[in-house]
Amino acid sequence: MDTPQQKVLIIEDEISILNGISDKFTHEGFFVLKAINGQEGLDIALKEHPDFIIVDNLMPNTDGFYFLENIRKDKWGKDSLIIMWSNSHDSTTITRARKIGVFDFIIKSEWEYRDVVNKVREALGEKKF
Amino acid sequence: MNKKTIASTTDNTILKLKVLAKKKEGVRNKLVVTAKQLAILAKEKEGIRRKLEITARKLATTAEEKEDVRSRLAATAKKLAVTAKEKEGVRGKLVITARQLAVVAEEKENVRNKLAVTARKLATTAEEKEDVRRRLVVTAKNLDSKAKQLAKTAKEKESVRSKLAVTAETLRLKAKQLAVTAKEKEEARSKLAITAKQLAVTAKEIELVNNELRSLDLAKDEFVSIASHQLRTPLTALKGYVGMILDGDVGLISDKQREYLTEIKNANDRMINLITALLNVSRVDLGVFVVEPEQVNLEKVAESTLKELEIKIRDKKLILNVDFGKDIPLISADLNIMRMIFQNLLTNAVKYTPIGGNITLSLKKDNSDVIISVTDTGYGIPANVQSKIFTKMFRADNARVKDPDGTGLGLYIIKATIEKTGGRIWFESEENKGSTFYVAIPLKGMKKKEGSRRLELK
Repeated sequence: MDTPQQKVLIIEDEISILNGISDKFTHEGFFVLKAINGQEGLDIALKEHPDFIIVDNLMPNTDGFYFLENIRKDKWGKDSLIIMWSNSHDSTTITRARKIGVFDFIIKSEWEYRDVVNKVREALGEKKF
Repeated sequence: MNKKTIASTTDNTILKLKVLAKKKEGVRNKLVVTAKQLAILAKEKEGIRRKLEITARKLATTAEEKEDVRSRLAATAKKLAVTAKEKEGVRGKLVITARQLAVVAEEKENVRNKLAVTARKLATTAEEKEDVRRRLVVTAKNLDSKAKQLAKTAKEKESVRSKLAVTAETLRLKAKQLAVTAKEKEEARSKLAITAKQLAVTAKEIELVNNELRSLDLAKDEFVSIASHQLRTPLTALKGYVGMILDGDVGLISDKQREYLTEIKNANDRMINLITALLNVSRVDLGVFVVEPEQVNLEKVAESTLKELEIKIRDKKLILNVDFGKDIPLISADLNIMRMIFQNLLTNAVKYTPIGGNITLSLKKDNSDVIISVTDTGYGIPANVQSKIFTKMFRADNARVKDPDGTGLGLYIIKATIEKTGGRIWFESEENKGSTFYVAIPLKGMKKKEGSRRLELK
């Protein structure tokens, strides 16, 4: 009755946060992949085809939008489930992300990790049905 | 006919008449003498006849005496012949005289006729003269009335002239004044021109300074943005780890540990809120926030905000009343700002209303605005601090006790934002009875405002 372990890719440049949220997803039974910038995240995503991707917005060198714009060009990536999370509340950023196509845009500092996990489960559940 | 000519003609005639009268008198005298002589002659003839009778008688007696008488008769015949001749002469003279008298009479008749003609002419002339005189009288009257009119006209002209003179003088004075004014204006204009030049220079300088200040403001905002992001990152990490411990992800914790960790979590959340609020304050104060109007359905914004607060409303067992007017139009407004307004007013109402209280959210349209009002039966704002309620960082004592985590920036931010986008905010409140906050959003909507940043929602 084991459900296959779901893969989550987390792209976050802030290591303390990356480790924290990764621990939470691991604790919740996910297989976690980590990346610290847009390019690295893109490479892993295209190779591993994770079930879900969480990507930060502001990152050095290649940021969240670099990742979003490029993953949507990929045949597999164009339909992948992505949440952008950020500490930038700027609605211009939010609108831009929604235009490219994200499952949700969430404000990091206002979300408990468990709520993020619930949000991902919700997304995956919707995908199943 | 000329009067003078008539007069001289008359005089001549009179003279002639006088001469004729004298001549007639002479003739008459001669005739008298002749008559007397004829009477004497007749007497003498009578005596002779008688003598002849005697003689005849004597003749009858004597032939001699007859001869004698014959010679005497012859003599007498001769004398008689002479007398006859004289008589004939007189008769001729009389005929002449008669003829002369006839001529004179004719002349007199002629003169009389001429005089009559003259008299007639004179009468006609007199009539004409009378007519002329009448006409002249009429003309004189006319002339008089004309003269009067002319006098009147002259008077009027004089009055007009004097008025014109006054007007001319007034105009002259005005012209003088205008000339002075024109001079002053010219001076003022040249001064203004100089001032305008100086102003242009100043304006350019101001523009430069303004641009510098603007870029400085943008730099400040950029700094605040980066700083707040940087500050939020570790706080987010902290929040995540505390959350995991509280969730029991790393093992069981004691109640005391849970209590302390909850305090840490709340303080952390407050810090995060404070950073967001400070960032917004900076954007409002620097005026760099963006206003991007779009057609906003206020009811939907209100409902989505209420949904976010659903759990808290349920937890506090608050009774929620919603009263949306049927005629609320779409408003051209910045969605972000409208969300912030609803979020702030409703969050405050929920926060500051005790368990079981009432909250009423209403939307009404009047002539110029849509009025959003949020009424609660909460703690209210004490009268002595009502004037400070929109002040940056101000928190009423009763509010601080009920909710220690507030920033005191929410109302300040939304008031500044509402007022900078053409709206109004005001309230009515009584301590321990509740408050009503009103926000008027103009029906004509918000004006688009360029800026570098959007305000951040909580």
